[in-house]
Amino acid sequence: MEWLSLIKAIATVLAILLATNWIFRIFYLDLKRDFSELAAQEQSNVTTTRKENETALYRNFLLPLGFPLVTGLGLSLKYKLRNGNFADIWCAIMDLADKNSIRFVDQSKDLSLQEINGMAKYILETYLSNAHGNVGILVTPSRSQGFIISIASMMASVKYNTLPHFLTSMPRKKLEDISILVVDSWESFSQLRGSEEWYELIIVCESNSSYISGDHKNVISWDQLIHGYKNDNSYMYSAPEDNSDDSKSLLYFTSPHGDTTSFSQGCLVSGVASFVRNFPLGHELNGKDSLAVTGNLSSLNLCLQVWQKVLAVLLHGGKVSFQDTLDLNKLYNPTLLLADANELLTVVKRSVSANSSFVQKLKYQWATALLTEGVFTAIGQLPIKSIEKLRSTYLLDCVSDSSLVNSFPKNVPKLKRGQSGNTLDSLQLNYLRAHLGSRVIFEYYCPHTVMGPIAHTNFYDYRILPPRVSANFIFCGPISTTLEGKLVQTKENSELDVTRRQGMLCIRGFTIGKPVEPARLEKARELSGEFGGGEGWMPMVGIFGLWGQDGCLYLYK
Amino acid sequence: MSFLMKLVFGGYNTSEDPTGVTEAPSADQGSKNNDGPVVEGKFYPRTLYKYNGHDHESILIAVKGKVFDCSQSRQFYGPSGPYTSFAGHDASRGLALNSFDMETVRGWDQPIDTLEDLTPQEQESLDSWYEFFESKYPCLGTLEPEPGVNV
Repeated sequence: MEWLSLIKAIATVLAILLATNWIFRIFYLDLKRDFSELAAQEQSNVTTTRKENETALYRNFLLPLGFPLVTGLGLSLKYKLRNGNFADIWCAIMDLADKNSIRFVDQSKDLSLQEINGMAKYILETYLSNAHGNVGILVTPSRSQGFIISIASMMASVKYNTLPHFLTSMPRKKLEDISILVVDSWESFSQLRGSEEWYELIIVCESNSSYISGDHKNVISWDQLIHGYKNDNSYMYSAPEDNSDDSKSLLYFTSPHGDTTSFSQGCLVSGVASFVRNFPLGHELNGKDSLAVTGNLSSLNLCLQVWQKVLAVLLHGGKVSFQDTLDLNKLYNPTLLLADANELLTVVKRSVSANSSFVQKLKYQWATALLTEGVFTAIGQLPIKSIEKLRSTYLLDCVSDSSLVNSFPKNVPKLKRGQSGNTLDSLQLNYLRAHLGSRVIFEYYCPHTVMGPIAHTNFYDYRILPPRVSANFIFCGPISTTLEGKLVQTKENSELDVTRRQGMLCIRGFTIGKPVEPARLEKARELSGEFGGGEGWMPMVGIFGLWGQDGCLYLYK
Repeated sequence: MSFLMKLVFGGYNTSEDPTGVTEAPSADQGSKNNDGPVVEGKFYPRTLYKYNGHDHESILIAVKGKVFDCSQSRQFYGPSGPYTSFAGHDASRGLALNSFDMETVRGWDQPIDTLEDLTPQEQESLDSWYEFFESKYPCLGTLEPEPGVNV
């Protein structure tokens, strides 16, 4: 009799467990799932034709079929649409600038947009309106002076055709286009060693002016530069009827290898529009958002990549904060986080080991189990107050050899495996999602050639790929909505078969920079002609990968 | 049970391999129902034939030696459409004669129609159709005779 009761009890428990599992799967997981399996399998629109020695063209499925790539802001100019430019963005930002502000690394409190706008407009009219060249900037936008002078120069790019020229190191030869140089400190100024004479004006972003001697009449300190400015909460701009401002250059960027690339107003506005559009329904950018730009992103090397996101957040009335070092405990309660992928993983691992209670581990397991079922949960979030509001994290990862891409070599190198071993895989992305309680979007950049990511994972894509895929490939997600991509056959890598969707990456679209040096521009044209048939394709030399059956880009590690 | 087990004891699902490296090789490109995107360039009557909207979702039509992708006009050239006889064929003679009869199109194993016997009026009609196709449909390549089959 006792045996019978025991068997009955076990059978009852089993039945309850099975029923619970079934109910959970049918009524909870299927209803709560963010991304259907079908959507995950079809992340790109693929053309029905391809050229010989090329794959088909791939476009992000966020672009409706038959629609063009994201080209800009879609502003109205009488009965026509136009893409917009920096001045349109800043004008709209200042319309919402009553409450939002920016926290810089050199300030103990937020700087309001009225102050920033006031200083930028003052610099624009006093110093840039009659400049004879561009403004060479050696100060990161994470510092208030760097940000303000960049904004002033971008205003000048529309109004006076004077461009900001972002530098990554002190120029050792004269750059003909630069007439104003901005350096961060008097110490940097002392490293000019006679090259002061190359510039009409040198701005030192420190207040102490005791260094200014009679020998250097073209040097002013930051205090002198902004002396007499007034807070200003308006920036008026009306586009000319011929729409000519939209096609102007926005900035120059000189990479650490000395290659200068020009980016147009279109690069900025299409990147901003693309970032805004990537937020799905119900998760749109809004005035409560606060973006934290942290760690390596504040460096001169990567400063080009922060502008689109920073301006997009400000455009919606949100706040921005910059931090030199990434420390989860010291963030200013951001809702959006922009960080270097490996840097963030290291910091999160450190925080996890500091919060390694049994309950926290159990929560992490639950979060991981739910995430791989396609259900987002913040249950596993680390108990850190400053990340409580975090909802979306952007991880930056860069091509292993940016200088190779930027040099447009005639000879394509042979694919070398094992060069990107440190890149985060899908399992680590879910580790971050679970512990941060935030969506994590992996973005793949060519930081000196393309403004904004080349490809990025979907907001809702929480898949964990099989270990063999992660061991061999970087999972980049579908191509960005401002670009379209294809893979091409190269004679140096004949083992990559285009009929199996393998080859070297070529991109075309609106966020790609243009080489400034005539010789490099000619090399780029020749290479484009060779691989893209002169149809505006830019070969990314040295970047080899394949298109997955899900429409995502997988690059060989 | 598996989900509850994972919830309690840890573990996760992995997705299927989207790259195909861990599975048998497949030459699939894009559409899963067909054998990949159409390769632009040179077509033979034999290779053109399958793009008739039935054997392959794309509809290609050759006019005056050029091959056009007419998939966007499936309602005209697709199966059950009024001009379905042109799909996957050289439609030059049919267009010149303004005839949709099957007799105006040649089989894939016959020589390519040289159109030498067309009257000036028929030639003019063909030229205007060619202009229409050129302006409306993307050109994917050329139609050429296959050695040993069409020559």
